[in-house]
Order: sequence, then structure tokens, then C-alpha cells
Amino acid sequence: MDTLPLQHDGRPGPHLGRRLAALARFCLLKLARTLATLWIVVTFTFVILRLTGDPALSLLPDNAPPDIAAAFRSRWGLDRPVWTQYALYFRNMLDGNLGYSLANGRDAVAVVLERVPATLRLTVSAFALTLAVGLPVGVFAALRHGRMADRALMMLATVKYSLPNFVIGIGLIYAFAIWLRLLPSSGSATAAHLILPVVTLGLSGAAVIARFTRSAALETLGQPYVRAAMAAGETRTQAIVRHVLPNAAVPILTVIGFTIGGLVGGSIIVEQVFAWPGIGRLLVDAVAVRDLAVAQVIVILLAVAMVTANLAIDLAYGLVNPRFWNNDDDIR
Amino acid sequence: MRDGSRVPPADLSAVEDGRLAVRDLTIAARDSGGILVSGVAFSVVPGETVALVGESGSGKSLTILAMLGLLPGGVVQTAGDVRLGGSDITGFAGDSIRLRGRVIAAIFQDPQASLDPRWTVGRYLRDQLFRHRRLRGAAADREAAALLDGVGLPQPERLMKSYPHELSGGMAQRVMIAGALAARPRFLLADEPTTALDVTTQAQILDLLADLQKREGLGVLLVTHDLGVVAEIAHRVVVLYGGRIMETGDAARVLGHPRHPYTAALLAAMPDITDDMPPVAIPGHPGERPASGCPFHPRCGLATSACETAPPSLREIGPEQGVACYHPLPSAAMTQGLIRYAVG
Repeated sequence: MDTLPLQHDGRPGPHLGRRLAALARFCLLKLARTLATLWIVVTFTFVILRLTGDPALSLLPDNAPPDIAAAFRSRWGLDRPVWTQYALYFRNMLDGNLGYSLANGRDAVAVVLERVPATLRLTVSAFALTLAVGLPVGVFAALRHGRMADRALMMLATVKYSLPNFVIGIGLIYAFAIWLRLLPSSGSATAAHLILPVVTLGLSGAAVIARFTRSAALETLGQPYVRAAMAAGETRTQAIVRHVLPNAAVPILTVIGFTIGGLVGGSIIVEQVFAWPGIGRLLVDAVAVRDLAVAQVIVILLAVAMVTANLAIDLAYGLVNPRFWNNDDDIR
Repeated sequence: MRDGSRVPPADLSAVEDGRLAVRDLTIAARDSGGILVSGVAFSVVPGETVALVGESGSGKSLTILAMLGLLPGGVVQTAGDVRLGGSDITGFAGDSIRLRGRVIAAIFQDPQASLDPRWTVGRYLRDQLFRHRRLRGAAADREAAALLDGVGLPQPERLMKSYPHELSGGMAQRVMIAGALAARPRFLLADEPTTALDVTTQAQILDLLADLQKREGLGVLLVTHDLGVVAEIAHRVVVLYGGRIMETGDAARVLGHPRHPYTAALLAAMPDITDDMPPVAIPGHPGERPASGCPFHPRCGLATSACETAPPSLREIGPEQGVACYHPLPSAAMTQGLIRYAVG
């Protein structure tokens, strides 16, 4: 077989060897970029966290004697020069040791990992909602281009897009928890607790996706091949499903990549507003008390998540765009 | 998906030798209500090529799109109908949608853009063959190769794996034609099929169309602004201006002895290397649409006050020849002199 799994069948393309070499080059480049990104992110947070506060002051009681504070600093190596701490941090990282929580002495990775499921539950549900609302609304608006439904939906999307998540979150709490008393306002005890934070987080992505899906679908709808396909016997619905959506997918995918970034950032705010026990809240707490190792681990985790999401988007491009893998010469 | 193998009742049998007729077609802008095409009527029978000629804005492409039921948003058909062998297929509404692409196929101006960039030629042809003839697998591949061969494209196996961006304009138009013919249609609507192609390719595609029209007994409706194209392959011609028919009739007769000042002016504007006279541009601009009267009167040297008040109706002036003009040109002999007078 001389096709990659990503390849549509029957497509002309370079030899398997050349294609695999291209894929390997692509992966190596991605890996190098990932490592560079992680290094920059770790260095930046390392320096900022140490320059902007003293864990001994924020973690120890206000009336702790100076010698206790000094012992605390020496215990965690905080009395050494920043660059020594920095070098040590990377050496320990090579051993798989990302440090311990200054607050409770536990392994920082374990502290963070136990919060991951809650955050995943929130962000994955929100992402699903983003797609489930954004894509159909965008396509619908494009099909109703210029009519009332289109204008109303796009106005809503703009309003939603311009309002920060915490305003939406507080508004939803007020409407559904305080006024209607239908849903819990905070916490994570039941499935009902998931609704408001997911809606808050998911709708802002949905607004962005809807706008971009609409413009991408509108542009594709105007392409001659859509009209030609209908002239050849396809119904409008068939033409939309078979030609408009697949061709509009490339720009939409790009925006989906952006909304994943928005989800990661947005979840930090939303977890705060709804007292959701995920890594977003842990990050805010860790930064507040300068729990250095925990904050670092979270930042690394978020960076890895972002890079992985972008990689997934890149691979998805290959799926929707036949030219991605196909560098064969023209047969003209 | 509907079972397309079932032949639509009544329609097809009536269609077999039926003519494709447009009657009183009127198209208007949805918002302003401005009339874009008014009372256009003509017909095509299998085995003949009818050319729909006019400058940009004459309504020729809108006419074809209306026949296909594919008018763009913001434009609506307000009157008239399209009949195929006696059945009403206006806008391909209702059940007649199954005849679109099957009995009446179409090709368009920009062939490369008319092919989905994500679909190989093979996928496009196999899709057409399955939709219209329920062919699949090896049978579909064989038929697709035969279709490509029939439109003068060699190496079908290789071509089937190609994407539109790998094709030249001429190849893409041949592929479009092969796809259109996959359904074995009776009629082919061709909307400026050669405009986007270079001159030598234009001639090849026109030859191919003329050839197929004879070989398959197709009725071809060819939209063009190029009178040279008309002279080359059309049997009959319909000259449009400002959304109205100016003149219609046998192509050789109309081009040889135009009776409408507009047709004459259009011919005089054509460069001709066998003629000593330089081409004469039509004064004014086709965009200027008068509020009333004959749409051509602001640019016509023969216009009188009658021309400004009401548009003349299409009158029969000879065998299968009609002209919509209060002051039709006299036949043959005096025509050339009058052209120069008419276009001032």
C-alpha cells in the first residue's frame, strides 16, 4: 500500500518514502517548536513568579519569626541566586522531578493531576457545546444571508463575543441560580453544577465559531462549483453537505484551534467564578501564595495542551485538504 | 437518497423528442423590483444549436440560470415558464428536479472553478455516473474512461486521479463536458463555455461541442457574447439587449442580413480581417438602461420618439426570423450603408 492513513484513496502523490520523509520532517519540526515553546514558557513563569513575591511571606503566618522564614527559604533553596535555582530546576526536571508544593510539601505533579479531571470535564463539555452550537448557527446564518434570522444571530454572536466570560457567568448565576432558582450557582457536586460553567465557557467559543463558519460558508456558497454541482443534479442540501461544508472546513478549523486556546484561558476565569475545583482555580491560588512548583507544573501542562491542540489542528488540515500531502508535479 | 434509477413518469417519454421551450421569461431584482429580463421566449430542439447572444448585462446568463432554477439570491423570476416536451419544468420545482443534470445538463464559464477543488476527476465522473445511471465500480470506471476519451482527453487512468488544480482550463472544460454527458442528457446549456479559455483552446472546445451535438443529437443552448462563435456553430440565434429579445432567426441569415439596428451595430463592432472597414464601436454603454421604450434607443442612430415611449414587440419578418424594432433595417443590399448611418 502506498498511501498514508491520512491520504484519501486514489490520490496521486509522491512515493511512500518521500511522503514519510516529509511527515518525519514535519513531526521533528513540531517537536523542536514544542520544546522551544515549553522552555520559553517555563523560563518566563520561573522568573516572573520569583521576581514578584516571596513565598516565605505569603505562605508563612504574618508573625513568623525571621529565623523561621530564613529556614523556610533555605529549606526550599529560595535563598540561592535565581539562576542557580533555574539551573537546578532544569536538572531536576531531567530526573522527572518537577518539585514539591510549598504549601503542603506534596509532589507538585500529583497536586495538579488530581485537579485535571474536573477541568477536562468542564473544557471538553464546553468544547462540544462550542461546536454543537457554533457550526450549525454559522451554516444556518449563511443560508439565511441578509435576512432577519441571519442579522439577529450575528448580532447576538457579536454581543456574546464582546462580553467577558465573567460577566456572562455572573449574569447566568443571577438569572438561573438566584432569580429562577433552577440551577446551582457554584461547586461541582452534581451534573447540574456543570451546566452554568459549561454554557458560560462554551458560548463564547460558539459565538466566534458561528461568525467564522458563516463567512466561510458564505464564501464557499458563492463558488462556481456549488452552482455547477446543483446544475449536475444535486439538491441544495446535497451540495451544501458535499461541497460547501468540506471546502469551508479549512478556515473553520483554524478558528477552532483559536477557540481551544480561548477555552484554556477561559476555564481559569470560569472556574474562579463558579468555584469549580479544577486546575484553573488551583493556578490562581498557587500564583497568589507563590506556590512556585505547582504554578510551574500547571503552566507547563497548559502549554503542552495548547501545543497538542495545535498539532491536532495541523493534522486535521491534512484530512480536509488534499493538497496538503500532495506535492506531485502538474500533469499538464 | 432518492432512487434515481426510476425514470420519472410521463416526463421522459414526452421529453424524448420534445423541445425545450422558454416562454415569456421575466426576471426582476428582488429588492428594487427592476426588470432584468423581460418576456424572453425561444426554444431548442434536440440536434440543434441555438446561440443566445448579447453584451454583458443583456440578461443572457440570467436566462440560463433561470432555466436551471439556479438564479442567484436577490434575483427572482416573476413570470414565464420553461417547458420540456410539454411538461412544465419551471425552476425545476417539485419532482422535475430529477431532470436537472439528467435531461438538461449545463457547463459554465470558469471550468476550473466549476469543479470542486477537493474532488478528483474520477470522483466527479463516478459520482455523475452513479447519480444518473446507477453505474458503480469497474463499470463506472470503464464508462468514465470512455467519456474522457469521447471529449478528447488521453490517459484517462492518470486523469481520473487528478485534482482540478492540476488541469489546464481547456482540460477542465473537457472534464466538465464529460461529466455533463455522463447523464446522457438531451440538452446542454453552455454559459460562455469558452470565455475563460485562450483562443486556440476556445476553438477546440467549440469544435468539440459542435461534434458532440451532431454525434449525440444534443440540443445545445449556447450563451455567448462572441458573434464569431455564433457564426461557427449555431443554427439559430437569439440576440438579447437590455433583457429583451432584439432579433431572432436562422444564424446565417441574421448574421448575414441583420434586420435590427443593434444586431447590425454588434456586427459592425466586430473586427474582421477580410474587410477593409475598421470595426465601429457602438456609442454609449450597455449599462445605460432607459426608463421606458426600446432598451437600445439611447444608443441607436435610427431611434425616433416612438422608440422612447414603448418597447416594440417581436414581429415575424420572415421564415423563422423575428425582429423587435419600429424601424427594422431593409434587407440585404442597403444594409451595409445603413449600418454606418445607424451607428453614427
